[in-house]
Amino acid sequence: MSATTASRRQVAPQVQRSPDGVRRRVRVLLVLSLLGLLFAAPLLVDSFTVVLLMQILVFGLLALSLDFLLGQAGMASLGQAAYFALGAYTAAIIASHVTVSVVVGALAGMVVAGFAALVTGFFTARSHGIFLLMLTLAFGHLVHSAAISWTDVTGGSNGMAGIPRPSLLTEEQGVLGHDAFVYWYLLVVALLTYLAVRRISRSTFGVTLRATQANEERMRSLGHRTVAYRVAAFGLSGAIAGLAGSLSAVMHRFVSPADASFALSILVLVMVIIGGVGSLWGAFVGAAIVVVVQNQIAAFLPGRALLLLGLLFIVMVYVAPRGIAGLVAGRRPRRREEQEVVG
Amino acid sequence: MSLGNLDISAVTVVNGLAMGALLLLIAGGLSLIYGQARVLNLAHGTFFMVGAYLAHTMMGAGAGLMGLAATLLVAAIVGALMGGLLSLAMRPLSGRGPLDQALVTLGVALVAAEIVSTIWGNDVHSIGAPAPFDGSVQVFGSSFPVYRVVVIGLGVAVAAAIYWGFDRTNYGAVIRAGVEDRGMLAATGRNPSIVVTSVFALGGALAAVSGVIGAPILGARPGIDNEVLILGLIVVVVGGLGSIKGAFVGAVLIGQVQVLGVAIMPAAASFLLFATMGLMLLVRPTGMFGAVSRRHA
Repeated sequence: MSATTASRRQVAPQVQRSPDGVRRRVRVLLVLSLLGLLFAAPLLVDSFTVVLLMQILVFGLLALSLDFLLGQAGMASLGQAAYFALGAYTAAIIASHVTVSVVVGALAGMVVAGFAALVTGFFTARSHGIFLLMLTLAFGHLVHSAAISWTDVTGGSNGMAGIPRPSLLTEEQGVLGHDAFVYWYLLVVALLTYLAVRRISRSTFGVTLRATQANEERMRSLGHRTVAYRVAAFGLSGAIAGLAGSLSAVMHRFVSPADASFALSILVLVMVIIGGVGSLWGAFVGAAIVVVVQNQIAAFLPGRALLLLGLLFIVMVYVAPRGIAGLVAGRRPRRREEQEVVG
Repeated sequence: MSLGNLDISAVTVVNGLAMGALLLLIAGGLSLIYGQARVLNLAHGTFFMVGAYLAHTMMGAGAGLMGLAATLLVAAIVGALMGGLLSLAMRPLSGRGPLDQALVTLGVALVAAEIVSTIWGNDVHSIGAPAPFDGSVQVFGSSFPVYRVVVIGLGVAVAAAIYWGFDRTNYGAVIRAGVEDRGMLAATGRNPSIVVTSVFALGGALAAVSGVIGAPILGARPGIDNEVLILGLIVVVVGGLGSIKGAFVGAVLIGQVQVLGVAIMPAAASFLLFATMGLMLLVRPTGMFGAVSRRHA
């Protein structure tokens, strides 16, 4: 269907205008009704499902950070959980010792994780392929061991429990006293971040990143400072992951070294691949699938969630390398360059 | 991944050599598959884990020399089969860039870990050294398990065998030719796909065999797959990807860092490992003996 639309558009663009307009209107309608449903969810579904949705939003945002890094800059990371944990711990410490305002916590989490990502990016941006994977893996382990051994600050392997009830402003004003308020806060943050990342991906910066991914030598010979772009992409990705971490701290009111684990980094990669690299919204679809499989389907097959996810993951790489987003977008032939993801 | 509590002494160095020899067995297969088939096999630790659990099943109740030999043989066959199957799984992806292949091996690792835990459960098993080697010897005035001396010997033997096999035999030349130019290799009447499959089988067998050999030191337990994979990756990254010589030097170095780290400051042992790797990559971005071109990686 879409393949024929695409080819006909090349032949006679003016004929195509009205069906295209209809398609766009249908799409806008679909998106709006989905958003409506998402915002109305706490009124429609039980509290367990709301928690599930919150989990999807948090992981979706984390997956979005990796999708941006991998899809736009072509940099694969096995340590994305590190930035998530930095954001989560920062937000938890701020909430416990400074202010309960989630806005301050989120900003601080973004700044700390983003700064850490800039510093690591400075070292990793020159590396490619397996070396990049190893360096990110190494940083992930560093943060994970720090979370366990720096007991005074992080609470060690027990983590930090009993983070105060979150509030938008102060302890008196704008308290997110009910799960529904927390959910709406997460939804708004996730939505705004998604829109911002989409905007960035479509900006000159995004195009430059994709061009660098396609052919770094040529970009460099054209006078572009490719390493600087890669460092910037790394920093931005880390800041988004940190924001996701701060949301996790708000939602669970608990952080632990598991937030920095290798297992989480792998899980995020699984989400991004299932959802579809480079699509951005696919990150949330991938997160939804992983969370639902882990919490719902696994109830029928206890302890077999990873088996199911692993099989799904393998099948996706073979039959739908562009993930669910790619399936939805149709079988349009993709440019060769986008296949070679490891830069 | 503790090797036991030891005072810092010459024994620690010998212990590090045993760890290094084990790492060499692990990293050898990893480096082989990467170097000769250009696939980053993230299921390598899983092959090791299968070998370790085979050792638990076949030698868990105590085994003699024959039991060890039988276990090694079974592990080699199972490992070769797993490696061969994995290479078949890689074939449809050959035109797709390195990440997709690595991702499939990662998926295989996830699935296989679940299957292993279904078969063998989630208990932690420690496995005794096989009977002829379960004693200890005097090394620098301290007692030292004989088995670890045997592991050092095995590591050196395998390293020599790999080096000799690739540099001095016809089969080694064929494999190296396949890396340089598949088309030219095919023109000589050999099937490059079969050569690649044999490399995978060899790498898989090596990993499973190292699982058997490593089981009395590291045990058979859930999560050992990731630990071993990460250690193996560190070794090949430090030594230089795809270089057997690099894997040798990297394994000896990382073995020392690991054991000294555990002995001196147990809490920061993994810090030391990754710091070593980070430093190496900063000084030489492709590892000690890595190719100068980064485009392969």
